[in-house]
Amino acid sequence: MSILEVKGLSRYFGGLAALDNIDLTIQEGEIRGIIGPNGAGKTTLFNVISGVYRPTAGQIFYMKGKRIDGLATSRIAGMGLARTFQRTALYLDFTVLKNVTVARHLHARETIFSLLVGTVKKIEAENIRKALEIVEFMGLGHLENELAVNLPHGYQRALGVAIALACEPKVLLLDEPLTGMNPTEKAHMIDLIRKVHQQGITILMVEHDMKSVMELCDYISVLDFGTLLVEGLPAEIQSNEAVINTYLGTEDIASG
Amino acid sequence: MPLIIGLIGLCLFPFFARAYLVEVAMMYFIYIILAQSYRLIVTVHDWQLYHIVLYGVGAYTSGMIAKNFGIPVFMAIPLGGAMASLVGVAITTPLLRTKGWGFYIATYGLAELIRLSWLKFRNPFGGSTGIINIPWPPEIAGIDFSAGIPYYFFSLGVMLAVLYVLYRIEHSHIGDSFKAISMDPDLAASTGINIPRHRLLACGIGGFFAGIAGGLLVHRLGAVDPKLFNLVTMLYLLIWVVVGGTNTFWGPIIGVTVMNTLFELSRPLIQIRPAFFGLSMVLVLIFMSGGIEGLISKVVARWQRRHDMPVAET
Repeated sequence: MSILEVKGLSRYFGGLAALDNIDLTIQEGEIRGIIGPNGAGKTTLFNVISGVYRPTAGQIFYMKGKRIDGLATSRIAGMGLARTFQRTALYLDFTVLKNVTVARHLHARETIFSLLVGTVKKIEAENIRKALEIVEFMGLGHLENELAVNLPHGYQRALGVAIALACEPKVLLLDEPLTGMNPTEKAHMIDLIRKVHQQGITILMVEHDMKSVMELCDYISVLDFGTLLVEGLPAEIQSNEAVINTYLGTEDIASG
Repeated sequence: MPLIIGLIGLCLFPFFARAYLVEVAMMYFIYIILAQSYRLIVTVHDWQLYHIVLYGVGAYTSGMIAKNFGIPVFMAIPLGGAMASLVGVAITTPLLRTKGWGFYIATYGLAELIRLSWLKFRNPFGGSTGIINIPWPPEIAGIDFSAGIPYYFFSLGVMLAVLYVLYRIEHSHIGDSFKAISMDPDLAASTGINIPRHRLLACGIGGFFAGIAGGLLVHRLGAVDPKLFNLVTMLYLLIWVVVGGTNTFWGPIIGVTVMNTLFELSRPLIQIRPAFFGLSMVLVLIFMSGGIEGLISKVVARWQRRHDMPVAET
């Protein structure tokens, strides 16, 4: 069953087509890789799906055909579609735990009234318990009271995923989760992504590290100049002429 | 512990100080409410320039309904707060679409619009002379609240209540969401935080307490006029908040205490006072971006480091 469906999606910036008539169907429970050269429109695709940009044309359907294109980012997140950012987006002055608790906004049913009469304590305790679970799950348990700004890069990226998980998503968009990592950190992050996937979360992932994409993803879509070049299983993509010509190039694929 | 000593000090103060100093202390309480309510809005990063006018809306509303409709003073003050809150939300709603400088200029423009209407409409606002003969608070249970010392305790109580509420908000999930929005709005929105709604919430709450401060002012002065709420007053508010620091709850309180004390002490040097205050804000912005509070926490941190780890210093 498809959980996310993109139909005829276009997004123009001035005269430039960042996305041009894209069709995508993501099945529930899959890990989908989105690859393509720089400027192919991968991040724009994520920004349109997550509501940062309105599409110029086309529709996005999520969960049994609900239309989500043009909705506010916070609404889309509330429906269970969370994302991470290509840049390391964290609340640097918050502790690890607070980064995650504040991201549990949708589940912290707190109002000014409940705050003043004091019924908020119970909600807050539950909220912190859930956040701690997520922090542990992402392997950050020993760092819960550390400020985000003090974490090494690998942990910061893991915290970015933890923040997205705090929304209890059904679909998770990962924008270059492995960027800037050393091999150890990469291996660790790949394990984490697998673990997240095992929780039943559908994953859509933009990544440049070909080796990891081939290893992780069930199915791959290749973008080029804002259009969908080709889709297929990792093995098909690796041997596809057009992909090799535009993107994978010659030798430097294997090294990633 | 220092809080309790401070409170005892504040309770004993009016019995030993001159009547004039008691009046000055009341102004401190009102200013602290004002600065602290402004800081709540600043945590969402909306440095709007109409806060003083909301303070004025509270003052005018409370004063006018008490005078013209005979509403009891203790009811008129919260109603003034509610009015200020409504006006704040009404002003901010269209401004949610503006960004950066546009936002600041628009907030100033709308603030002047309201202030000028007080000035231009003699009826009902009294024009440049404002409104006089605003009722004093009544006598309750044998205590005459129009006298200095009872009103001192009344405004102290209101200030403590306001600080308590704002402190609770600051340390709640809502307060964290406000800070999250100012740190990284894109990330905040991606986790489901509705940014426009939170900005309106912050300005509604902040406006309410600014209005309360206005009500406290007007029923002590017994009069109100538009000069009290002009841009210069707004700049003083900015100076208190910036010089005190906005990172923690205590910053604006420190800012009001320090700067208003300097203000009182510099009465003999009245010609150079504006220059002094403007310069102090510029210097703080350049050299001490966390404000006095930031400086204190830096000094404390350095002191602790020196005493915990005597060797590991560069």
